[in-house]
Amino acid sequence: MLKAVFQYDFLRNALIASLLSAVICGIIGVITSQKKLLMMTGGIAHTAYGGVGLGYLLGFEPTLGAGIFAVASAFIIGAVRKKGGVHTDIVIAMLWSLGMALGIAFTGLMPAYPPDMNAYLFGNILTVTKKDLYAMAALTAVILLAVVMFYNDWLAFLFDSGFSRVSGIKTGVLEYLLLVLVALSIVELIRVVGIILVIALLSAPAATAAFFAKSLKGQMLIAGIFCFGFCFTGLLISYNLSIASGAAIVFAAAAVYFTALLFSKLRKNS
Amino acid sequence: MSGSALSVKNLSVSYGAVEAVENITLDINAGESLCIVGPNGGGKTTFLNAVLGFLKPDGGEIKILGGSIKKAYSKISFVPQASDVDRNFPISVREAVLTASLKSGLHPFEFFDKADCGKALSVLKEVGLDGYENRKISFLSGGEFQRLLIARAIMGDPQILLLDEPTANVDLYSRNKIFALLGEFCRDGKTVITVTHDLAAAKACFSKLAVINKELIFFGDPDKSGDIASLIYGQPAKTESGRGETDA
Repeated sequence: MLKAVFQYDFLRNALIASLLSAVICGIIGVITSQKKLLMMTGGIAHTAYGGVGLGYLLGFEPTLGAGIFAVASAFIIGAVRKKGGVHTDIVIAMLWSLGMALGIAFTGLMPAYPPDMNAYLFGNILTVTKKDLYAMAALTAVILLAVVMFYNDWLAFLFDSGFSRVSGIKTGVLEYLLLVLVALSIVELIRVVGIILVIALLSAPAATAAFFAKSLKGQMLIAGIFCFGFCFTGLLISYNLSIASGAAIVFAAAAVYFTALLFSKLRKNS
Repeated sequence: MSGSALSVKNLSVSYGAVEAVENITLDINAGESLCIVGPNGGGKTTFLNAVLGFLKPDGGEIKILGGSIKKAYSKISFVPQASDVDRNFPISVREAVLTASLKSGLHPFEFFDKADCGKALSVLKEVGLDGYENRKISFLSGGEFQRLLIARAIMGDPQILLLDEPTANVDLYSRNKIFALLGEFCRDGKTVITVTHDLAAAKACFSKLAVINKELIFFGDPDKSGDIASLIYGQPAKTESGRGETDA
């Protein structure tokens, strides 16, 4: 496949997209798994489907629609979490299904079913264009900057948000910033694995890295490496066996995670 | 140091229709140590969380060092229940303590410097964790982890230290060590407010005792409280100055 990477633009783009995704999964995947926000991530991702449908219906870029819906749902979830009174998981479940329902309804209003709708649902890293790569690179830069810039604040907040609040750290700002970063990450990863599979790419590398990491930075770095490995392996499987790239990436991620889990259990019991 | 450290007037907190804390009034001066005891579900942690600003009271007033809670954040610190902190979080003992050197606001491109690291090592020594600084927190015992949380709390030189069950699930050695540390903290003129189930410590190690079971059952000198267990578990109330009244 390496030879083909130099021959074909689509493979080169796929590889660069894998690298950019690895940065996102390394950072945001670890933060969301440490904050136990993975289900919320799934909720935001599925809500984004409504935006994709609206984009198709009104004739603007579906990824932009996904971004708007993702950020809006992130803010709604954030407000509910802050205000309390209603169980956040109920609101997540409602937004999850509402987003999907809107996506189906919007595309149903069109004269014909959009041809590449499945690429948004299940991803297709092999169809990533140069334009997509520029957008992905810009989003990666924003996310990287937001995390590196406030690294110590993130460390304190993730370790113990209650203590951070009493210390005077602006935990409310961090909480909303995190939600926006999660929404942006989802938009970026939709092109790689799709709305339905994005949760796997955010959780599996972070969870696998947790078996080896001694520090938060270390976990982010290892998760990034794993994510690139999963994407590359998925590409290899997809290229050689002609199966959907998003599914192949998730197979690789799940296989490595469960193997690491098994070894960790065996080591504990020995 | 003198003056009011904590002043609570007619504090009531509820969760929906369930009243957790009703009409509590008490005052603590700087340099005093307050121990809060009560049955499970009696409102001790709710009271502490309201003082910390984590819960919005239904009524009443809380003043810390004469001002609002938010204004006092730079002068207070907090030791949560150990079970509320993720012990599998990938962080070293040194880093965990260093997180307390971050003060109000956000800290763009601010990284821990040598002075912060030196101070972290010194507070770790104070709590008997010198030599543990590079250890991952998941490798600490229950007592060591609790002392780490105290080290983190005193890292920022607070004037008031609030603790939620600091000796839960720790062995006798760690329990004694923790109460000795809190005693030293008070001797420096600072204030300690602790929620605990350790009734022996409540009598022996603190200058003030509050027994809370939704309402304030007793508040005053622990030596004058009589049998604390009977106060907590529904026996006729014995108070220094009458049920629900304070000697402050």
